[in-house]
Amino acid sequence: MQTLLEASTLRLVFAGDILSTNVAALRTELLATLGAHPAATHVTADLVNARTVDSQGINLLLALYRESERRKIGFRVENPSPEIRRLFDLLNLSGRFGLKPTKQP
Amino acid sequence: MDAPRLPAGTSDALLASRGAAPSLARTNAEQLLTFRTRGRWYACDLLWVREILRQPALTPVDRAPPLVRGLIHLRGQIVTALDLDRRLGFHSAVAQGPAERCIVFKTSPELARLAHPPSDCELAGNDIIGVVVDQIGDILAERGPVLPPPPDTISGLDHACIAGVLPRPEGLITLINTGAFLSVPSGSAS
Amino acid sequence: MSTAEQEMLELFVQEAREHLGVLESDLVSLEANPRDAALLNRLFRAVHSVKGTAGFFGLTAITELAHVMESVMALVRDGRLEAGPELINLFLAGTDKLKAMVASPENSADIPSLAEREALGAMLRSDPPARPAAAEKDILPLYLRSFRIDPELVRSALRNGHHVYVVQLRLHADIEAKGQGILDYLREVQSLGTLIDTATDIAEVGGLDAEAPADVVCSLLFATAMEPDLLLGAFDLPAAQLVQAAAPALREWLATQPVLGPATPPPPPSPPAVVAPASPAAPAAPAALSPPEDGTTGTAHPMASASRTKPDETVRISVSLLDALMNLAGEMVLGRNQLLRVAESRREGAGAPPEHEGLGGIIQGISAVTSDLQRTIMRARLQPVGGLLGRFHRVLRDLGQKLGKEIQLETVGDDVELDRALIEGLSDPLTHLVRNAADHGLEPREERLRVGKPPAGRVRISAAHLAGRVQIEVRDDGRGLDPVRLKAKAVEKGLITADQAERLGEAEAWQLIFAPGFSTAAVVSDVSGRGVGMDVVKTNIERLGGRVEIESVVGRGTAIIIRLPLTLAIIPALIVGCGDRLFAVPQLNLIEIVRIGPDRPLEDFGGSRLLRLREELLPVLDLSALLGLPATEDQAGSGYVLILRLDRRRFGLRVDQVADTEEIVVKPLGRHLQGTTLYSGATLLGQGRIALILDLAGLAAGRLPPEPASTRETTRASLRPPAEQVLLFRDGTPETFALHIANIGRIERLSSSRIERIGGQDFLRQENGPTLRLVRLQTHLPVTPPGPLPAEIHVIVPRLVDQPIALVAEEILDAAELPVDALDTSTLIAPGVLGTASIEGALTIILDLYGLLRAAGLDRPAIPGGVDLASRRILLAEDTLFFREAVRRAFTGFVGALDVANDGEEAWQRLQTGAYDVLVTDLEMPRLNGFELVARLRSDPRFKTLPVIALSARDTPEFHERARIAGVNRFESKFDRERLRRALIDALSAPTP
Repeated sequence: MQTLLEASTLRLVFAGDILSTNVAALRTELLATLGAHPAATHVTADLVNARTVDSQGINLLLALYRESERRKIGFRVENPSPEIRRLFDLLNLSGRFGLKPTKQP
Repeated sequence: MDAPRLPAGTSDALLASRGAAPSLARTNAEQLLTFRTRGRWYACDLLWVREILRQPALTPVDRAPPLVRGLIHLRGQIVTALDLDRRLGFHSAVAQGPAERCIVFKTSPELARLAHPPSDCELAGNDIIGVVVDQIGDILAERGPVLPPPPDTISGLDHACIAGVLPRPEGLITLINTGAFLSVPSGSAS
Repeated sequence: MSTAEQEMLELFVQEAREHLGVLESDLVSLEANPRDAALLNRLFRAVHSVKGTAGFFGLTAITELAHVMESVMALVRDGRLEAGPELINLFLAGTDKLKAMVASPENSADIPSLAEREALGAMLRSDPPARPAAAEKDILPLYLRSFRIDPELVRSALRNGHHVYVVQLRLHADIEAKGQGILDYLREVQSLGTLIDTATDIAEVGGLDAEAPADVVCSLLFATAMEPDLLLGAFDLPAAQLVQAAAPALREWLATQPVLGPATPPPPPSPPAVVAPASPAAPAAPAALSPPEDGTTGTAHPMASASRTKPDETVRISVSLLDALMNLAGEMVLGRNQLLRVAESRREGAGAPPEHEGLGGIIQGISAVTSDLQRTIMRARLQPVGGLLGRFHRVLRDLGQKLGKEIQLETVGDDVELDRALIEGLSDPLTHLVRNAADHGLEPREERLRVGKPPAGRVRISAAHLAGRVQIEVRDDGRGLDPVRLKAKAVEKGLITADQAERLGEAEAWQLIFAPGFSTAAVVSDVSGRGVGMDVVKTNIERLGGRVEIESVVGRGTAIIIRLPLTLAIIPALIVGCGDRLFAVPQLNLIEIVRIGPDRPLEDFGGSRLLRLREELLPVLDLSALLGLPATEDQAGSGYVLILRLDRRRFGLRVDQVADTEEIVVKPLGRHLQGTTLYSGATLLGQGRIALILDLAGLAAGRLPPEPASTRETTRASLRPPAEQVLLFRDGTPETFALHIANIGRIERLSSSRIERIGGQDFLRQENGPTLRLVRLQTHLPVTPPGPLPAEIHVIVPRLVDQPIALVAEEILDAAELPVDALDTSTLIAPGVLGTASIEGALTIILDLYGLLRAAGLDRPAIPGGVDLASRRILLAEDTLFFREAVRRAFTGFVGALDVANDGEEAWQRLQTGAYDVLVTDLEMPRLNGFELVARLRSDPRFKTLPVIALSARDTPEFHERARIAGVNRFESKFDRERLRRALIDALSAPTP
C-alpha cells in the first residue's frame, strides 16, 4: 500500500485486490498509517489498482469508514473499477463511499 | 365345512353393505348376529358390529399372544383380528381354518355417536378390533330365553365374555358379551 | 344469544386463546431481545386482535385491558419505552387476566383488572412526551424503516401481485462460502425480480482493530412474483433470513405517498460524500424516510418455525374430520391398488383396445397422488412439539422469580412433530417435571456457587425420535437424587421398611420418587407440592403407552426420560423380509447392511453368532429365530445382516431379504398387542401390505451380551449383577478355558497343515500381516497333556497385545457371561491364569493373557529405566475385573504399592486420603468415568500435576484426543507388563503439562 499525503488528505493507494487473503495485514498497516498522520482531515481509499474486492475487502473498507467516523475525519473511495463500482451500487455503499451517483443501467 | 344348522337366507346379506345393515341397526329392538367358528355357533349384539370382511388377508404377528390371529388392512387402518376361541378361553383341538370372514367391531367413539350407545361402549376402545370366524349366520330379531353360561368348571374360560346360552331349536348358541370380549383379558400381555 | 352468535363467540375464544398463547411466549422472548422488531410487531398485533374482536362482542372488560396493553406496547415498539423485566411482568400479568377473561367471556366483566390497568397506565404516563408529533407519523413497519423505498417500485410490484420481501444476506457465509462471487450473486438476484433497496448493516462491522472481522450483512428489499419457498431455494438461504412484508401495511404506507407520473425522479440524494462528524448515537444505517404514522403496524411473516404458530395462517379443523379424511384417503389407496391389479391383468392378457393406450401412465400418476394425499393428511395431524416446549420459558421464568433462582431453559428438538393427542397428553406431566426440576432439582444460587457451579441453574427439555419411539427428556444440572436420602424419606413415610431400603439399589431408590405420597422437598413449597406427585406423572405417561426412566448423579443433576410409542409419525425405514413376512426397521438405527455368503459367513459359537466386521466381532441376532419361524437351511450362510445401533451399542440382525427404504407412516398397535416387545408399531406399505415395525430395543433386550460397563458413559445403574463376557474354548484337553471378549481380535478356522514348525516353535503365516507365533495353552499351563492336533483347528488372534501371536483352540464352545463374583482366584494359581470359575456347570480356567505371554517368555525384555518404581504408590481405577486383575499382576513385583478402585468415584475418594505417585485409570467406568475423573483432578490444585495414565481397550483417535483434552498424560491400550512399566517411568520422569 502506498501512502500519499496531499495537503490534509491522506491518500491510500491499495497495491492490488483487497481480499480475505491480505486484509489482516492491511488492517494493521492502515491503523499504523492513520496513527502516523494525526493531522489528516480526510482519507481517500484509492482503488485504482484493485480489480476485485471480496466480502472481507468490503468489511475492511467499511471498517476504515467507521474508523474515519470515529476520528471525525472525512472518508471517500476513488477510482473503483466498473465491476467494483457496480458492487458498491448494489450494496448501496457508493453514496457512503462518496462516489458520485451513476445512472444505473 | 358343516352345513349351517340355522335357516339359510340372510347369512351373507350383511356382506353387501359395509355399514352392517344400518337400516336394521337403527331400530331399537336388539338384534343378534350369529356366526360359527370351529363348529360352534355364537351370537353378538349387532349394534357393536361395524362391518364384515370377506376372506381378509391376515398378516401374522409372530410371538403375539395366542388370542391375536393377525392384522388386517382395512382402508388405511389396521385391525387387530382376534381368535374367537382363544379369546374366550376354549382350548379347541380343532385348528381354525383359513380366515373366511372377519367381523369388525365399532370403536368407542363410533358407538358413542349412536343414538342409544351401549352402556359399556367404553370397552370397545379406540383401536379397531375384529374377530376371525368361519361363517356368518343369520340375524336373530330377538333373544328368546337365555340360559346362564356354562359352569366355572370349564377351566380357562373367560366368563365375563359370555352373557349366556341361547337354546334354539337348531342348537345352542353362545351369546357373547361384546364389550368384555373386546377388552384385553388380564394377564394376556406377553 | 342465538346459536350463530354462540358459535362466533366460541370462535373468538379459540382465536383469542391462541393469540394469548403467542403473546405469552413472545413476551418471554422479548425479555431476551427487547428490540426485536418482528417480535414487537407480533405482540402488538396479538393484543390488537384480541381487543378488536372483544370489542365486536361488546366485552368491555377485555377491550379496556387490551387497549392499555396495546398502548404501552406501541411505546415499546417505537422505542420510547424499555421492555425491562418489570414491564414484562406487567404485560404477563395483563395476559393472565386476559386469559381468565377469555376463558369465560360471559363473566369477564366480573374479573377485576383495575390493578393491571392502573399499573400499565402509569407506564403510559411516565412516557416522556418527546416527539409526540413524530409518533403519529411513521406507519411503515419497523423492519422496513432502514430502507429508502421508492413508492413507485412498491406500487407497481403490488399492482402486479408481486410479493415484497426483506432478504438478509451474509456476504461471506451465504455467498462466498458457497463458491460464488458477490456481484454474480446479486446479478442473479436482480434477474429474479426488482431490487428496491439495499441496506448494509455497518454497525455490525467493527473498527479496524476488530479482532475477528465480522461477516458483512446486507438486507435486500426485493419484489418478486416468486413464492417464499421458491425464493429461498433460488437464493439458497435458510428460512429465517427471509421475511415477507405484509401487503396491507405497504398499501397503507403507499396511501400516504404522492402518486408520481411516469417520469420517476432520481432517488433521494446520496448522503454527503464526506462523512459529517456524526454524533455517536446517530444511526449508522442510511436515514429512513419518515412517512406519517398513525399507530398501525404491518405484519412480518418470518418464514421460520414461528409462522407455524401464527393464528392467522391456520385453519382450525377437528381431529375427527381429519380422521375421516384419513380413512377416505385409505379407501382411495385400496381403490388405487385394485386399479393397478386390473391394469396389470389387462396388460398380461394382451389385446388391450387401442383407446386404453397410456392408461398405465395415468394410473401411475393417480397412484403417486394418492400416496401423497395420504401422507399430507397424516402430516396435518402432526404438530411440532416446539409449541409445548416453548411454554416452559414462561413457567420457569415465573418459578425462578418465585424461588429466587436463576434458571436457564434450553429446548432441543422443537421441530420434532408429534401427534396432537400426544402433545396434549404430555402437557401436564412435563409441566410437573419442569417444576420439579426447578424447585427440587436446582440448588439455590448460593449453594451452586459454593459447589463451584455456575450461578444459573440449567434445565434442558429435549424431544427426539429414537428407534421408532419418541424420547422426551427433562434434565437439570442440580443436586441430583441421593439414594440415601430417598430411602430414608421413604422409610420415614412408611412406604418401605428399613429392611427393604437396605436392599434397594441406586436405580431402585430413584424409582421411589414415583411412589404415591412421596415428596423429597424438606419444605413443601407451593411450586411443586400441589398434591399431584410424580406418581401421577408416571400414571399419565403410562396411560399414553410410555415409560419413565431416571438417571441421576448426586451433585451433577437428574434426567427424567420419557419414552413414548409413536402414535402417528412418518419415519424413514428399511423394509426387510424374513420368510414371507415383511418388517420395517427405523433407518435411524441402521448403520450398514452386510451381505453374508460363503466369503463372509456368520461364525457360530455354540448358539451365539458373531459377525466379523473390520476387526470387530459383532453379536448377531437372527430375526427368524427371534420370531420363532421355522429355520431354513443354512441360515448362517445366506441373507443379510443389518448392522444396527442402539444407544451406544452395535449389533447385527440377520434377515432373509432386504427390500427398499420407504418413508413409513407409523401406526400404533392395538391394545391386545401392547405387551409384545418385538414391535413398536405397524405400517402399511405401498401395495396395502402390512409390515410390523421392529422395536430394536425390545428385540435386543436380554439377548445381547451384556453391555460392558465400560462402554457406558452414563451412570445408569444396571439392576442385573455385573457380569463380563468371555469366550469358552478347549484345546484338546478336558479343561475349558475362558478369555475375555475384549481380548479377542478374531477367530480363524484353518487346516492344521498350515502350521509350520520352526526351531521347536509353531508359526502361522498370514497373507496380510505378520507371521503369528502360535501359543498352545498346554505348553504353558498346568493342564492335561493333549494328543496330536486334529486336521482342523481354530486360532484366536488376540487384540490389545503387541506381539504377533495366536492361541490354538481345537474347539470353540460358546460365548458366556461370567458374573464377577464367581471368579475364584485361590484354587488354581499359575502364571497365565487369572482364576477359575464354574460356568454353565463346568469348571473353567479364566486366562490372563498378559501373564500367559510372560509365562511363554514372549514379553519384552525390560529396558532399565531411570526411575525407581519400587518406592512408588500407584492407584488403579478400573471397573472391569479382568483388566483390573491383569494390570494388578503386571505391576506386581516392581511397584511399591498398588491400590485398586472399582470406578472413578472410588478413585476420587481414595485420592482424598491416600498419597499416590501415579493414577492409572480406565476411561469408561460407571458412576464417574475416566474423562470426568481426570477433568476433576485437573481442576483441583492438589491434583493438577498428578501423572495420569489412561488405560483403555478403546484405541481410537477420538478417545486419544478426548483423553488428551481431559488432561491425561499417557494413553495405553495394551496391558503388557513392559509397556506399562515404560508408561509409568515416562509419566514419572516427564514434567506434567
